[in-house]
Amino acid sequence: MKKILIVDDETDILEILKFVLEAQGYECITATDGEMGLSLAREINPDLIILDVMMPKINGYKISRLLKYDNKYKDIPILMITARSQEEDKIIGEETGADEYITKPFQVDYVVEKVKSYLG
Amino acid sequence: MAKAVLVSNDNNLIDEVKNIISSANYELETAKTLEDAEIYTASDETDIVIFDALIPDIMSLLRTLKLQMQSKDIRSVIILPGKNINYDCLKYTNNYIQRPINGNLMLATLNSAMQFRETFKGLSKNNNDLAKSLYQLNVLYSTSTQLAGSLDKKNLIEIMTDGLDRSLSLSLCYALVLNEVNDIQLIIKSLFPISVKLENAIKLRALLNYKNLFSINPKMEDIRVIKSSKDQYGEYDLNVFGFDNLFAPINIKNKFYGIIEVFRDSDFMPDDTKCFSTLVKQVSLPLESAILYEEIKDTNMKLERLERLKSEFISIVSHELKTPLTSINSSVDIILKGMTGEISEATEKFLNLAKSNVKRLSAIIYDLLDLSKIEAGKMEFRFERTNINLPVELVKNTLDNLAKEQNITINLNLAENLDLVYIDTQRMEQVLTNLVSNAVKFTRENGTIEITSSRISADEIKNNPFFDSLPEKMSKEYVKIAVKDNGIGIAPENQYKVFEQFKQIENSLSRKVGGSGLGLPIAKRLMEAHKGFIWLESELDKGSTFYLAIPLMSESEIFELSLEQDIQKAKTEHVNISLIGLRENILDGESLIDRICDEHVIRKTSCFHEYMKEEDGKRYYYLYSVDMDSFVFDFEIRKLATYINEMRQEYPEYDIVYSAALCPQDGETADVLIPKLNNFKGDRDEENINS
Repeated sequence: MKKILIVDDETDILEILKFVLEAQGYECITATDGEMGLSLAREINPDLIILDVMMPKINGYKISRLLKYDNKYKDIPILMITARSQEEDKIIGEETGADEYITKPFQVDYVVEKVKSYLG
Repeated sequence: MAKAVLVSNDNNLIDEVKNIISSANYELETAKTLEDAEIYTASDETDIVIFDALIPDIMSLLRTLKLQMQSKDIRSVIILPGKNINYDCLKYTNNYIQRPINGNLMLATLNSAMQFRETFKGLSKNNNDLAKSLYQLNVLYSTSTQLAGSLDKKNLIEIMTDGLDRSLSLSLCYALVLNEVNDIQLIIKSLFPISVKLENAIKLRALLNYKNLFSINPKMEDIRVIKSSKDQYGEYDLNVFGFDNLFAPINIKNKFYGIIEVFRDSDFMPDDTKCFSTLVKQVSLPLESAILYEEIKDTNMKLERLERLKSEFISIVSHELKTPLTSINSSVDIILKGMTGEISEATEKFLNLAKSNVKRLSAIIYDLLDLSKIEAGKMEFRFERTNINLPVELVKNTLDNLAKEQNITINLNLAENLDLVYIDTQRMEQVLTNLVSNAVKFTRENGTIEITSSRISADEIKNNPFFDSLPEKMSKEYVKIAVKDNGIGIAPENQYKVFEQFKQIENSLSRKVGGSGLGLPIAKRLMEAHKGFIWLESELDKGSTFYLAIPLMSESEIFELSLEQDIQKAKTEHVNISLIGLRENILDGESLIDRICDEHVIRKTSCFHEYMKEEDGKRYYYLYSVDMDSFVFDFEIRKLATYINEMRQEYPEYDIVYSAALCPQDGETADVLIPKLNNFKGDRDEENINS
């Protein structure tokens, strides 16, 4: 079973994404802050990460950069969730190396579709 | 008693003259040498000098004393010998008597000389008074000029005390002004150093005078003292209060503002009093303006802060709303998809209701965000040259399905071969989507929507009664897009309102179709950013046509638009921008720009934008730089204007039409230096040079 790590300080969103993705047969591990998210990512080496941008301690950009610049983890696809519009985040995003941007409010279908496109 | 001095070494003559004069009201002194004579001519007491023409070296003696006598208005009489008269002597004297001396004639001569002297004295006193008045007038004039140039209250009082000091040669001057509560200023100007004892005495005197005139009770310790002394004399101290003084209240619009008192070791004349009161009165008007100015500045700052807060508030709230909205939407989706089990028909119906309202809410949030971004000048545009028909077709295809659901047909009638427009495609699609989806919403079933594009001249916009005012500068031609529906129409009284914020017209249908009411206001702002126009024609129950006009811009217009946007960006993001406009004759070899760059004044960097045009044998050259990270200039940015002015003189063959630098961090100059874009391309007459 493919493992997905979901990092978001909004537990409601975590709950929803976990529910939807588990229904698609993925194993979901969740973290509620950046620090926890980063250490879990290194520990379990997931197949895909869904990252919220705005988080306490370490924000999504930083986690993405730390993972993408690390040979061990750089191949893990990262989907970023942001409340800002895509164009605003694009510039920073290009540096952080995230693979996909999903802006809030998002449709669950869209997230599932994106995940599937990476994990099949 | 008049004083006469006889210059002679002839004792007989001396006795003779003494005899004659003793009968009249004259005091006589004698001088036998040039040195003795000089002592008398230097004195203010001497009225007349009588010379013996036979004294040795008479000519050089007369020449030596002449100037001094003139300056003191001393009259001179020469006693000539009976024969062998040396008439040269007469050049240096006012009167003469011949030997043998006739006593009566001599006295008559002396008396007439005295009369002359009196008249002269009076005249020269008048002259002095005139000079003094003239000086006072000059000071008054320069002071009032200075007063008119200042809008700072403290500065105004200082200019006034300074003017008083200069025109009246004061020993001491103080002004006590009450700016706001707890800000009482005492400005002291004096000729001499102010001891602590004197300072306290002045404070006390000022306060007592102040309290006599005004009911407010300021305290000694609240007074801020601003002292200045010329440090010349040490001899005055408390005895300065014994000097002659003048005192006046300082009024603003008949309202009491402060007091001023001046002291002088010589008495004040009526002219001085007039000068004093004029000057004190003169400060009243500029003080009033200064206070008004402060109030306006204060209000403006508050308004700006409010405006900023509003934009920030909208932006923060909108972002914060997005997360809960996502949760609601996703949860509803999950249930609707049956992922949590089967749902009843009624549940599905109401969940769909919730879902469509969430969608509506998100649309409102996006609109609010857009509007707050536009208002804060933070909307980012990505302009490109493109064919306007492309976004039109795209929007039509996107909305076709929505239209078909209501059996509405969308027809396209687009002009071919339109010149490219300079637009942000995504934002133009947003405007078009808004217009077309509105048309779909308000058109009845089986209706049609027609979208046409055509090329029009600026006159068509200028002659359009929809616009009360138009920008001064307009492009010559525009591309017009018309979105025509045969829907419910808009009543004439509402046709302007639709472009105003939060003014959705009260109408059952519009309530039914929903929306933030911000779509058209946003469209209007977006069109403004494109230097374009939006307007409508409508008739109730027949339908509406919304029009867009997008300018067909020349290269230079595009340059100016991007410059204007960059200036806006520079202002909101607090970066430097600088700008030079040149019109130069085409010469062989290097251009002035190259020369400026070569001289290490400007480094040509990637953030340099330039535009060049050749016309009538002249090359129009504009360039500017927006510096996002560091200084493009190796020197202080504000020196640019000065440098350009120097270049003007040095290279008259180049015609520099514009130069400006803008450094928004430096609040004091930013507004002054913001280039007036209308003038940017203008003639020399219109140029706006900041030096």
